[in-house]
Amino acid sequence: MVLEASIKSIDLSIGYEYDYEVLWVVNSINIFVWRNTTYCIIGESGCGKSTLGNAIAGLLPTYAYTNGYLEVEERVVVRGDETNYNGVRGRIVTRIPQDPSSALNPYVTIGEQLVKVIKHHYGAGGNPLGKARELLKLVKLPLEVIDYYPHELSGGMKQRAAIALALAPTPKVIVADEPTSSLDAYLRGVVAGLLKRVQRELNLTLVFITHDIALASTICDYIAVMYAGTIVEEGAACKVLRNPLHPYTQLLLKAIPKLGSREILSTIPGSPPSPTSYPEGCRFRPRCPVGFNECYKAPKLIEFEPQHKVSCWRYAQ
Amino acid sequence: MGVTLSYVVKRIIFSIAIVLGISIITYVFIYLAPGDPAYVWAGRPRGPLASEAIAKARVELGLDQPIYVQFLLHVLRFFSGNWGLSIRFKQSVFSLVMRNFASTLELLLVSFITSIPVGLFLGIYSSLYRGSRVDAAINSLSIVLSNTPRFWIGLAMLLAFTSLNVPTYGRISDSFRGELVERVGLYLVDSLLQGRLDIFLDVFTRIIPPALALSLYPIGAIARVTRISLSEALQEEFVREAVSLGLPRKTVVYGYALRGLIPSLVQATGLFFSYSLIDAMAVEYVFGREGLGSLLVKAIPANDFPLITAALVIVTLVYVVTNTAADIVQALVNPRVTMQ
Repeated sequence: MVLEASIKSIDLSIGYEYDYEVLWVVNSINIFVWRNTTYCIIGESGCGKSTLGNAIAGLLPTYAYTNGYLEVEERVVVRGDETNYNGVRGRIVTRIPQDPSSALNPYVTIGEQLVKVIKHHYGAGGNPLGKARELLKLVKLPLEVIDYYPHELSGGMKQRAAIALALAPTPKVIVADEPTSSLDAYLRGVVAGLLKRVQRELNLTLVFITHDIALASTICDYIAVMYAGTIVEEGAACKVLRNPLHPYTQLLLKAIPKLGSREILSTIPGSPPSPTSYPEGCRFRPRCPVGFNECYKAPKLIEFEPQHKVSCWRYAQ
Repeated sequence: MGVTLSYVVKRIIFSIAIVLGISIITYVFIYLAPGDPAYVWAGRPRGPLASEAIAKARVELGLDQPIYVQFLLHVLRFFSGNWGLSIRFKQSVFSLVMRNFASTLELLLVSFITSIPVGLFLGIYSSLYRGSRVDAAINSLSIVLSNTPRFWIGLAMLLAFTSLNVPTYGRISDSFRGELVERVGLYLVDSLLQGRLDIFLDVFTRIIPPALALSLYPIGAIARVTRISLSEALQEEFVREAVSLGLPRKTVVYGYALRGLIPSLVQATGLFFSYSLIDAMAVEYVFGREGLGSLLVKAIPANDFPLITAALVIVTLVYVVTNTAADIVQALVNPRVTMQ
């Protein structure tokens, strides 16, 4: 396995127009995702996780503004305010949306949907029906699902069908945007496990966006913690989870219930700031339990140890 | 697919009930309205024997009996196919209504054959380029179109064409009227069946201006309905997913987003069609064409209850048919719907 960059961004910012101004929802992000790894982006709702995911998958709305540089599988997709996703969508990146069952076209059978996508990318000659069957086998769905309409499937089966659909164009990168948020605890683990298995078997790069840090810890290799449009901590999963540096990460980890523990579950008071009113300096400052004067200046993401970066003044020395 | 026999039976029973309701309401309203059908039936008599003639006419029409008997007789006759004689025209109501309905239908079909594609095109185009100048232009155009008074546009067109010596008044040139053999009732079809291209062209030039005047409303309305519902559908998760899978824009728009809209578009178009049936009244009047609308205009002042009821029943049936068509299309397109 050769380790190469699958996704690389340099000072990537994404914003939306709001009252004749551009609101930057994602600010100067530098990420580097190795090929064949699972990269988790975690954070509360409204931190810009989905926007970043959409930028990678090429699903930014037409009114979005971009800045910086983003490269996916050696294809430059964002450079300055220009975006070019031609030939990237499908062949290189696909996305599994927040509610995978809504990703299925309700008017068409599962088989037809798979065949349509396979035919578009590989032509009618390559036995699309056979490929569709293989995909269903890969996600452990019974073959008769091919003739079913989405509404005839259970929630878990729809998830699997949606994953099969996302795999149909044989992408190299999959962006899973909170794929488990609509599921119960059991299915959540099953679907996450399935994604992880598929990622390993097909040598994919999986970008897994979630707010569920416990789930993230079970499947990912790298973790990036996002807060208010910036990455506050990033690194190998084991390092970030065992030795969280940023106060936000520490608080997030404290908020996970542990089986058998009698500790009172803590919460983080307040909510993330909206892009209209980001605080000056460190954006976590108003909610930070350990902030000090230095925090009125914006911190930079610095390397604390190999494969572990943090953006907090407490580690700046 | 999803249409069962019991659905068809239910629909038929439902339509009979609606027709019954419509005939009750019209009958009661005509009964309450001022004016006397017997006076018209007797030939608007004057002089010393007038009251005697009117009394005789009243007995002939059965108007001397209590209203429930009158109504029962009317409904029984109506459903047994005996629609009676028109009070004003003293002709068979059935043939009167059918001949005029054919004329209106011909006009509306021509007008909708042009307005459906144009409206759809404008709607799809403006929702794909939402927020652009083109979209703003189309949107204002559709508002203007759907609110322009049809009789005014009709008058303007009639004047314009007449001053250019293009005959547009009436349904067919008087010289051809005797030559045309009516088979279907639609002159465009009849003339072709007869193999007379000159009659066809004459009928065609006469139908274009009123059809254009009538198509303004459906063009604007269809464009607006399409724009709004397609803009919503393009935001649906499965449509965005299709984009993410790299499917081409055409497939995404027509195969994914528009597909779910077909039933509601059929429903809306059916509604506009039924609405235009009444709307045609003014246009037909302006262009001197026969038609259901102008027939109603002539029947109402004469309290011509058999004719009014029959004409309204036809209009109602068009409503029912278009609604049923929309339901069936819904069942065919959407696998989650079955008609039972």
